[in-house]
Amino acid sequence: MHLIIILAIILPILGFGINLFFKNHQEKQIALVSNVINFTLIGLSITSAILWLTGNQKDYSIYLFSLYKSHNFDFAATFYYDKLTMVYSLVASILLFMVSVFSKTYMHRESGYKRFYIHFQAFVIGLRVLIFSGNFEMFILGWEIIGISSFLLISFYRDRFLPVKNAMKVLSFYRISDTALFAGIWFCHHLFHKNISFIDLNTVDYSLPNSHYIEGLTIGILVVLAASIKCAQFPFSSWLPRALEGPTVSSAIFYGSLSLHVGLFLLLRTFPIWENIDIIKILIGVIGLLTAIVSYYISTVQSTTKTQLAYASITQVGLMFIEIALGWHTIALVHFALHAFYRTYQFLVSPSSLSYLIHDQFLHYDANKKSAFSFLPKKLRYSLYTFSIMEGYLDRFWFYQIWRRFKKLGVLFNVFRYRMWQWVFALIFILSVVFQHIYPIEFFTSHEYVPYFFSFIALILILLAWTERKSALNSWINIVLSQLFFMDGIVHQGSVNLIQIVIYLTGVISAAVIGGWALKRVISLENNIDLNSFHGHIYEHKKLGMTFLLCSLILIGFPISPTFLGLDLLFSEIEKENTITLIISALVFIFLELASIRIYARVFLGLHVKPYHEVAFKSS
Amino acid sequence: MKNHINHTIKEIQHYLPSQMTLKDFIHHNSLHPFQKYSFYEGIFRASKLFGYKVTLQLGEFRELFALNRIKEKTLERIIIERKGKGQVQTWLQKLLVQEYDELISSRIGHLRQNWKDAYKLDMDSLIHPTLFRLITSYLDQGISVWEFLRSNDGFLESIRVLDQNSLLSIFKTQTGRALLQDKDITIEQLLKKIVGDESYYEQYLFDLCFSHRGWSGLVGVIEDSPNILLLKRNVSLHDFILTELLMELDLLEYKLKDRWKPLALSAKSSALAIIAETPETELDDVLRIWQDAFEWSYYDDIIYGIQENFKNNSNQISNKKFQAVFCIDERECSLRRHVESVIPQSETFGAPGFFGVEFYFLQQGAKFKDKLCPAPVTPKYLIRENANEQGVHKDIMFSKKSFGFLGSIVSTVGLGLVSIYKLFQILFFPKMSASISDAFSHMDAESELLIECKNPDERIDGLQLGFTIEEMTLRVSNFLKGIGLVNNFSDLIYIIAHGSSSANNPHHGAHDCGACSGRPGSVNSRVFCFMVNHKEVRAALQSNGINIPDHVQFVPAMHDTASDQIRFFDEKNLTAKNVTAHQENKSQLEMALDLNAKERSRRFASIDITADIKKVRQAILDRSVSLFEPRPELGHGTNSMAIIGRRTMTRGLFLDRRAFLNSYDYTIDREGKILANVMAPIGVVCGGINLEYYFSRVDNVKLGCGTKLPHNVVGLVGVTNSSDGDLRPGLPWQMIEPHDPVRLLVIVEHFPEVVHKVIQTTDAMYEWYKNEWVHIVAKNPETNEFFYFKDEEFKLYYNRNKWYGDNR
Repeated sequence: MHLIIILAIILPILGFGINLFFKNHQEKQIALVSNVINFTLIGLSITSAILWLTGNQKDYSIYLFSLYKSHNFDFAATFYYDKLTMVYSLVASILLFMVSVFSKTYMHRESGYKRFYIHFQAFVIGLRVLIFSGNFEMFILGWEIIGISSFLLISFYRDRFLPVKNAMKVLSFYRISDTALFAGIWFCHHLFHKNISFIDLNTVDYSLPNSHYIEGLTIGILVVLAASIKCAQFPFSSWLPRALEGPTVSSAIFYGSLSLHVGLFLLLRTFPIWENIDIIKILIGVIGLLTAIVSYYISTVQSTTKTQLAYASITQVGLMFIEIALGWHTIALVHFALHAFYRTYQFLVSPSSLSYLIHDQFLHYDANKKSAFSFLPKKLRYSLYTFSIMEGYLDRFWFYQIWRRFKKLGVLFNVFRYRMWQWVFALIFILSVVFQHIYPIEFFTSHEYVPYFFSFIALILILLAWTERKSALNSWINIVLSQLFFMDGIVHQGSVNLIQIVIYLTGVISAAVIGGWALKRVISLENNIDLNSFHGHIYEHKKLGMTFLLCSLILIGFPISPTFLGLDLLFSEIEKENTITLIISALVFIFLELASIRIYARVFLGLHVKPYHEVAFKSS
Repeated sequence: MKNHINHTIKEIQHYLPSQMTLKDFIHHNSLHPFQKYSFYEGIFRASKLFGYKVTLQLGEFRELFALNRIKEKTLERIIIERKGKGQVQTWLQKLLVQEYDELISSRIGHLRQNWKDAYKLDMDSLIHPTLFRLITSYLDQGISVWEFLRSNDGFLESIRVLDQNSLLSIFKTQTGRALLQDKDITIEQLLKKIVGDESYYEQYLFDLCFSHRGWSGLVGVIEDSPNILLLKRNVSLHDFILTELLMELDLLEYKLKDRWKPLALSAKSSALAIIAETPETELDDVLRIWQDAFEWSYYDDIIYGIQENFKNNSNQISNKKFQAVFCIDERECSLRRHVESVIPQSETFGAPGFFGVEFYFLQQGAKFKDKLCPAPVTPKYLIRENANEQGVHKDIMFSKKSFGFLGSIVSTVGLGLVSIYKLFQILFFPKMSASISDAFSHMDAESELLIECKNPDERIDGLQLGFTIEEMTLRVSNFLKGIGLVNNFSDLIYIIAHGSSSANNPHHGAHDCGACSGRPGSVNSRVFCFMVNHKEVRAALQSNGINIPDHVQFVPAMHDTASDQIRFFDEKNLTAKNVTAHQENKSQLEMALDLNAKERSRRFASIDITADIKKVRQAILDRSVSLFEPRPELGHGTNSMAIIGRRTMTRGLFLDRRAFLNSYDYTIDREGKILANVMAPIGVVCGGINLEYYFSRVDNVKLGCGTKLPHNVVGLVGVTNSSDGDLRPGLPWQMIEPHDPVRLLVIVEHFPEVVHKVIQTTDAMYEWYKNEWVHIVAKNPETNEFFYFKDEEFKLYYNRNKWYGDNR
């Protein structure tokens, strides 16, 4: 069992690694590796399921090794197996294998054949890690990998405008979800004074004493928030139809089946934490019910196959939320499994709908058939229709009410946009380090507002970076500075040791320098690059683009980088009472990723500014 | 002013793409509005006005040259012809070495760009998603469960009524809502508010419509021919523009409140006329020479091949086993060659695949009728199908129940179980099912077709039910004379239509028979055979000079060009003697199909062509029913010539499935009277196909619809790339990938002066040749000399055989 679980994690990583070495035209080899790996994973899933079912059916946990350990913190690679793992692993492995086989021919001769399989396998890794994760650290590792591979597959057709724009849109939702999850974990750390593994969660009694009711409630709400966003529940539904930009196969596997159900996994996994808090159950139930109703109506008016499927899927997931709220976990699991298969099939055959439905109309059209909902009173019917055709006004809501407000906030700090200020901030940072660690000065080390000040600077800087329109390099520098201040703000908080800082800084500085170099190089080759529109320079500068993307990911603390470990450690150091720091940090955390991926997207993706070759129309 | 606006809208409509809904895929010249200019003038003009890429890139030509696919001698010849003898070195240097600025710019979008520049407002991104959702829902032919609440007076009026009766609104501001309800509002008034200055109106409207040329184009097409939709929808480009302007005004009010002024005030330059003269550049000249050299490097070989082939072919085939008539479609070109090689005593013909019979077809139990003839023809006849049972066509996996609410759980769970099985089946055991478009399901093979008109006065929808004997005779006689089959009939004559089965393919119509409006031609072949086998028709034909012996039987059949299968119809009518012969022919045709499949397989990288021929055949068959196969067949890809004449010109010649072959015998038509009918569809059908492939190939993302893989079927009328994208007309990348963008070379076997007279029959036909959108060559049937048509006259084609000897 031990071996099987470890293999189930290592194999996809192996496959991913092998495929990196092939060239795009070596399609047979690329697909073969993916198919073999995914087929083996089915075998492993079935074997482990049989072993588990015929064994004592007890939850099974593996403690592999520890990446970093301190008195109350243990960042460890642990894995876990229970009924939930079994079901998800079985369904996922079968579907992933099928989609891998389907794509072999479907993606034939596509210019991004290799890229597709690389992203796809990254997704497999993420999903495996997530499903088998034994603690929150592992879980978030998988969660983040899924998120970023999602982004990359939505923007798979990176030379067009809409895929890139919509990928950014989806990413912004995902980022809120990530942050909610991070914050939830942070609360957990502080509540239980250690990082909890899932095995403890299910065996040790974690029902909370009444004195910690508020903390428990907050954790619950954050977890539900993270899950609802990932599951495109109300009021976050509008991202899902916009995510259908990639090849049909990736839409099928991500938004029809697996990725969409990851939030449910989170809910079921964290169940012991909130099982005794009725408000959370009611919340889940209400979200589910509202979603199911709203997206049901929206789905009925959809006149395109894929969006129709998207909203129908959201409805079903909403119903699963209700099932979970009612405690019908087994039913929810069965519902999930069959729904995943069903939607995958429907997505895969969605291009057939044109000929099928036209033929169907030919034979079965009934001119006298009553229109749906004609029994409703006119005013209600028309209002409901308008509501549905406008997709519940959700897209508009998020754009105008949320994101635009932050943009305005960023514009508010326009005075700091001059280059000079970057020097000033850099100076402040150096001074703060000097006076805090090298020649400690009382004021810096103990004044209670100092950390707020630094966190606030981090927030200003990141908003500036996020709303920068002119210079890509300026934006990048602001991100780096913001990241540093962010750390500064936290470091002030507690007893952070040097190793933590070193781990963190290695990540940030190397990424900042290399990323900055890549950006500078493109800028010098292509003259000034503003951030007002997309430039599509990946057409000519593939390597620079990849370098920059990797650097951005490391800089923002993507969970393969030292920055992540550092960030995670630092996060755990924020004192519980410091809610303000936490909120500011959370905001910085959201915009860090958005701002740096935004630079990547605007400089490298979208319509190429040099149309000497085929360049699509913006609207297509 | 109102007139002026209407005039502008008409002009815009003229330049918009004119592709129909995908159900009726009619190939046409993607740059049809420019056909009044000569080819090069037209395409470069289009490029500079609308930003299309219209030839291969310079680098691609140079690569072809390095591969010797563009021949040095040909290139030099073209330079001499165009630039003079002394210029060869200069131009070779330009063609091969010199760097040019190849950036393509467009006159569209400059005015509306000012919204972004002056107000940081990305108007399109904010309006398009809603606008597209509204128009898709309005036009929807059967995807949505809850249909658009439309009123009868059109798109705009429907939105008005919707908004009036709803507590919620599509619009964001009260101003917007109020303007919507003002029935007297005009485009001009809105432009006055939004743009301000009259001189910019035209440019603004062009910018607006071309920012989503796919939808604007389809709206225009439906406005002109509402009958292309099964469920009629009342739309007009005028209403569509008005709606969008209302939404723009609403957005401006909402986002900028009083912080905006009419756009003319922030325009950086004076109004730009979109349709204007464009400057010629040296790059145009360079590309022109390359394109010519590319085409002639290929044509020279073809003409040489035909000239040589003709010398070796004798006219007579003795002891004929059977004759077979195929569609002129270039996909049948290879099958005909294989049939003739497997069965040397066979003779094949080519003719437009509707076989001269034009009608609407009403399938048993169907609620709508299909047009089965070339797109420009409007038939007056209806053929009904009389089958014992209605064709079953249901796939529970498409059930809309799963979109329901509580009941959906049950269906999701139930169908979820089925999907596990189905997923395995489609992946590992692909087979025909209802979700796959099956060319043979168009008609029930066992059904009876009501072809003979019993009562000319009885009509349905104004259509006569079937044909009278007289009408039949006329059609049969015209058809047989057209292909030169008026004597020497064999006992069995196969009339082989074609269609194409493919899975998961919204563009399947583009693979079916173009002469049947993008549908399988099975019904046409049965109808034609019924006519020609009819006793009274035969008797009447005799008086027309066509004497078909009684034992001669015509047998209808259809070839599935994707799966490479032939199915025969009405075999029960065969006489005992013919049945035996027919069985033998059938098994030999199977061998020809095997060979044909093998020939096709060499263009599919995923098939092992060295495998056993039956395995190759199976692999070809599997493609047509595999949902994961984006290339069931390659359609008309690589088409490049149309040959009109007797089979002796081409029999035995390897034309690589690139030639449309239309049989025609000049000996029975010395004056070219029949030729005029034969030539009528060549430009518009074959030329249309050729140019659609040409343009989809050279600019697949603007004039084609890009890769199929992300396509989303919208409203059953077309495809977009995503939920918010514009409609994508044109051909997908998977279809044009192997296509070489060369213009069609039409070769006609007749005297040049006759051909010249014939192509001038109508102005529309003449335009194709005069403006060189297709090339035409006349082959003098007696001297075997070729004449090339240029500058409105046929000139002797210089025989370049001499240098073929030392050709690399």
